[in-house]
Amino acid sequence: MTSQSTIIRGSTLMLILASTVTLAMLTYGFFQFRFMQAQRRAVAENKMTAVTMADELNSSKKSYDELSKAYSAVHEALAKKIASILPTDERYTDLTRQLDEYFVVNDKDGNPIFQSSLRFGKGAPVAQFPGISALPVSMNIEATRENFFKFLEFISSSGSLDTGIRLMAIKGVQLNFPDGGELLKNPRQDLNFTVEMSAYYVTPKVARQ
Amino acid sequence: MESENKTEKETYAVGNGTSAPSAPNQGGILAQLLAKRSAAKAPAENASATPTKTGNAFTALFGKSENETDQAATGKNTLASMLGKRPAFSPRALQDLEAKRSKRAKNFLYAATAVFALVYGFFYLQLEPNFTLLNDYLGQNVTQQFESSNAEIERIATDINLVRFRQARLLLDDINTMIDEHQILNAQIKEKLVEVQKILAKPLGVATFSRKPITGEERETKFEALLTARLAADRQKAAAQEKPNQDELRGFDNLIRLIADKNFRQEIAAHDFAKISDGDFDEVLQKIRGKATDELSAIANIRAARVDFAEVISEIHEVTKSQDVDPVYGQGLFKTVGGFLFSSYRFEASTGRISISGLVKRSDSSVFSRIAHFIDAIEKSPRFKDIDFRSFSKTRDDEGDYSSSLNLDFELEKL
Repeated sequence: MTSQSTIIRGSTLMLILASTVTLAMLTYGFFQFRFMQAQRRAVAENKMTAVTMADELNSSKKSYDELSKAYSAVHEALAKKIASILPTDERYTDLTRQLDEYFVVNDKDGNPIFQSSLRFGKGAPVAQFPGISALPVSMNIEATRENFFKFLEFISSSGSLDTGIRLMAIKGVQLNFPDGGELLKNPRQDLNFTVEMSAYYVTPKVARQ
Repeated sequence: MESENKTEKETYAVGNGTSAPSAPNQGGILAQLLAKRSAAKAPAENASATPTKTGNAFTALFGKSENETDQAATGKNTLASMLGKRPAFSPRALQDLEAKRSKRAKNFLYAATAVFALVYGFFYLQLEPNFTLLNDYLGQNVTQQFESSNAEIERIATDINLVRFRQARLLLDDINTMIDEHQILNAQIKEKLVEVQKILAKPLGVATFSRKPITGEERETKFEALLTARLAADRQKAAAQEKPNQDELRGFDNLIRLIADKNFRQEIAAHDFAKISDGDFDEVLQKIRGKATDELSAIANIRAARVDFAEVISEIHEVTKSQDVDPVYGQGLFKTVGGFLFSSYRFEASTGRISISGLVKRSDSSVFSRIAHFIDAIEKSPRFKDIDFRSFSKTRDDEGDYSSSLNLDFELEKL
């Protein structure tokens, strides 16, 4: 009796096990199949989306190319102006010519301005403005009161894309009124001043030797 | 077993109704019954030539027994023929049966396991993204196709974003060329800003299929990272050339900065340029200038940091001309009326220091008071601070006027 019971339990157990394996396989297969089908549908949909997006890309490239062509002249001019405002090197000779030109234009009879000296120092990077260096410039100038303020305005407006004047900033001014002190009511009052400035430029990749 | 049967035959053998053989002591009632039965059966047997069912319920189940055959042959009823043959039932048969069942169950288990393995193998081949052994023969599996198609979507979306941002940068650069004249070019600038807005307002991300749910913000971050990575790779390629084009490299840097500056993009996208106030518009333009190309940004920052010395001098004059100091300053009345006379100014932008030298003259001796008023006025001015003058001295000239030299130092207030 006992041996028969054992045999019965063994076959039943195997049957149960086999049924469980079958059920597990069916369940696994079902869910994996669904997942696979979902991925297949996604692939098909992605292919259609890719076609639509490729068209959009071509159309965007076309409009960008048209815009780029239309602005190429403008941007070339902009690049030139930026280069004149903020050159890629000290360019102190260019600056000398630019300053000279200013003094020549503004030195008039009855309203003179005279640059008696011009000195350049050694350019160095400015910590406050990464990638930018400053060239020290100092000048002694004799002028009228009117021309003094005009000169201050000239420096204040430097660096404008409109004018293309080299970007400069005044670091210090010593203003003297030799004849009896400042007279506000006389714009042609003679004075002299020493100005210390920085003329800016893009720090070169290779340092000047 | 046979001897047993034999014994049983001998024991239970009965005749066919004619005469009952003498049975051993067991005969009794049973013999009578058998005799009666035989009598009833005999006419039926004689009437039919065809063989009819003989025997009893047991023989009906188990077929004719040997006893029945004997009976047919001998015509005698036996207990054995009535009861039929003893069924063949044995433990061995049961064991065999169970063994068969067990074997079938085992086969079923093996088959199920084999099929499961096949099914698993099939889906592994189809769904495992890292399995590429058979790609040369069968191509990509489903999961690999899925990931490839998603990657393709991302690539095209990144290309579109790149073109859009280049377009936005181009428009912003164009606006930059007009900022200095924005009072005149106001309408044109706004028109271009609206175009920039349309570009920057579009989301970077595109909806793609994924196994896990992804939020809109995560999608935007992902596509922003893809765009930045693409630009970085392109920049690296450009920089690795024998003679790298600096303008091209600057262009890449400017684009990367624009993409990274989410706040700026959001700010541009948020304004309504049709209704914006002048002050807000100026602010936007300055921000655009500041966020422009590296050079334009640097130019804007340097210009913003400059000190306007003309304005500083003008403020000094305002303070000097106040009621308590010298209302007629600079009118050329110093020699006659007295007051303040400045002979020199010294300005230093790096420290904000201002030095003024001059004279103060009055007909009465309240020179020090005037100087004190001037010091107070300078200190009160929002433009200046830290004036410190502690040593006063005055002289009296032949005409009876009092004068004091002036050397004042103070600082510019940081705005």
